[in-house]
Amino acid sequence: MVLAVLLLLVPVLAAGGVWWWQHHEAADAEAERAEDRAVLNAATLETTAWATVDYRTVDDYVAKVSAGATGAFLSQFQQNEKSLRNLLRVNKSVQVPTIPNGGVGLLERKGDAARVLIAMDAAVTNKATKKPQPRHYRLQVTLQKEGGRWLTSGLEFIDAQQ
Amino acid sequence: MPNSELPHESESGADTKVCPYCAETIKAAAIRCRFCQSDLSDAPVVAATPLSPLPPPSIEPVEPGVDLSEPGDIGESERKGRSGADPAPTSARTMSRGVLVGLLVLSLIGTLAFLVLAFRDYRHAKELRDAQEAGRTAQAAVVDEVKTLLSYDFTKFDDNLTEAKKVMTERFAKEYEPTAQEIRSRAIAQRRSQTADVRAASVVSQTTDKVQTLVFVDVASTKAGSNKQQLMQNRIDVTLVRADGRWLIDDVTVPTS
Repeated sequence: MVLAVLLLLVPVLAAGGVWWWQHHEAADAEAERAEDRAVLNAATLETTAWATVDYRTVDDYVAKVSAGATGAFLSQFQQNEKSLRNLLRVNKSVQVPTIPNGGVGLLERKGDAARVLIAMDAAVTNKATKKPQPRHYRLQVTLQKEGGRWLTSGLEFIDAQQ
Repeated sequence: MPNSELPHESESGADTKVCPYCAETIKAAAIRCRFCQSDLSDAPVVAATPLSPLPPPSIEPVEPGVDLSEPGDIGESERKGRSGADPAPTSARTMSRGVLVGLLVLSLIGTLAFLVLAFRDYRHAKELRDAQEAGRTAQAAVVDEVKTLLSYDFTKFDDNLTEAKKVMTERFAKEYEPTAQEIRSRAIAQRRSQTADVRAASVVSQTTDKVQTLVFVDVASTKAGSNKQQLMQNRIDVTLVRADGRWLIDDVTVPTS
């Protein structure tokens, strides 16, 4: 009787093992997808923070951008902070960005490093303009995962090559 | 067979016998049955009978003082005795069989349930991995296909258009035809040629058979006999679908706010 019970348990345990293995595979695949989404979200947020400029709220601007930055991008931003504050104040610059649908794409992600392309439009006003001037940017954002967060370590314009 | 010719000993053992009234196994030396309280001093000896397939009838205790001395003179209630064989093994065996069948059913259900769940998870994981792979291959394919789509020489426009249609789906080629004819007229009239250079391509969304890409493409346009070059920095969304193992352009749009 005991032997029969044990024998009847074997297929259940085996099937359970197969399910556990496949469940793990599915969880891994979901985790990869979630990581891709996290990269795209982080790049979108940081780029939007960086492009949202208002000479009246420079402190907030600096804090927001710094919070999502790391590496060369952060140190460059911190180095230029003083001159940037001055420029914004003097020109009374205001930039309002938008990222259109289909304007964010994953270039690649390998381990804790990733690159994203962003197409951004913006309306810029300053003391020299009467009405907002349109801008169209092509940006490549480099990100690094640190402490469980994706932070921007590089941001560059993809300008046309002459 | 008359009762008196029957053996005194029951099949239960040398020192036991079967009560003729209730058929229980009792000590051979007993003069009163401990089950039905019958007086056995003059009672006929009843041999044990084989196990009956029917469930044992209920045993009714005999009234004290009832005369049971005459052989054969046994009342209905006394006849309702157990057959004499021990029913415990029968019911125990039936119960074991029932438990085993129940366990077998549970085992089958459990195994099937796990296998169904495993198959569902396998399909989900495969779908996600296939979509990722689709994104990678489409991202690689779109570079050359956009170059082919957007590059032309006004002296060979029709040939260029034929090549461009090879990287389009039939649906998109039909949709693109009016635009292509406009570009053709302008290109030939202005003697203009155009070269597309893809600077970067990325994946916006992906499924196994359809990928949307964001492409940064520089388009350099020149007129025949002129060194002046018109440069346009374009950002386009190119949707590709899988057909016959290849990625074909199914739509081109400009991302606008």
